[in-house]
Amino acid sequence: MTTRPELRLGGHLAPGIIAVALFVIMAVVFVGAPLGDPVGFDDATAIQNETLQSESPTGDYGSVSANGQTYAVAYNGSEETANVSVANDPGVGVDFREVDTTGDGQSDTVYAISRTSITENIGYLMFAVDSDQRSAPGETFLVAFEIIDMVLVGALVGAVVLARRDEGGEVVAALGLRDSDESPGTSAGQVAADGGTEDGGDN
Amino acid sequence: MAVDTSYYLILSAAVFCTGLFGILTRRNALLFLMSVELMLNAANINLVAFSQYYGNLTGQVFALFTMALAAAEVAVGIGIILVLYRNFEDVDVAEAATMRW
Repeated sequence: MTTRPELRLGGHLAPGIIAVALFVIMAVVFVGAPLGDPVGFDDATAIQNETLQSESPTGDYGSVSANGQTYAVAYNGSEETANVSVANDPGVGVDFREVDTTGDGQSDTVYAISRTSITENIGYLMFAVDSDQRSAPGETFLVAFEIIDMVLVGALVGAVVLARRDEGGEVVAALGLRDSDESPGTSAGQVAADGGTEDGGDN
Repeated sequence: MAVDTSYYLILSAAVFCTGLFGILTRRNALLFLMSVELMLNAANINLVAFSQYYGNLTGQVFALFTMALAAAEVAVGIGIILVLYRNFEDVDVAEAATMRW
């Protein structure tokens, strides 16, 4: 008669079943949650409101950088139909978007937009710099950054200062007073920070 | 075009419950630490998902801070596990039942 592995059933399975049940409950709630469409960052508030041309924009668009300024250029075939300088030179490239301003279902205006990348925006927000370059909303975190910086440095220094171990009755600190000139009898690399004990002091 | 927010939430719930499963069923302190990290990262997924949902970057920046604190927490956790191993010659969390020994 052959033996085969069997599933051991019993009360010890309860914690795992609880975790799985929690996931099922969460999934049911999340699937049924009345969440709308996410706003996202694709259509970020990056439009610079620079009207490029107000006629039917059937051509191609391009950006030209010259004399330290960025120009947005619209082409209709090979003919250049508009050429405007983009205010607040974004320095990260100019993008174009056709917008239907009259609501007749046809785009009639082309906006020149600058799109700052999300990663770049995160950097600006974390250090609260370049508020005119940001294209997505968010709070600045400079104060929180500095506070956490101080706390983590304090934790690191505290850990190094407090680090010590017993070695043959002597307390050896990681950041001890390792001055071998003052106590030439002490073996190298060891500091008797407690003044010496029964087998370790003054040797 | 964008992925629906509820899918992110389900992913986050799955990661969180995996961490919870580990904490409830395991006795190895190192696996405990890994499970706690999973639960922390589930919270991060939620932060980023709702950041995208509202089109606001605050959640993403906050997630970065959470990661930094998680790293510090892992350092402390591994320190505790080292002391546990030194004193009990084991990393079974059921061995250390008291705060002093």
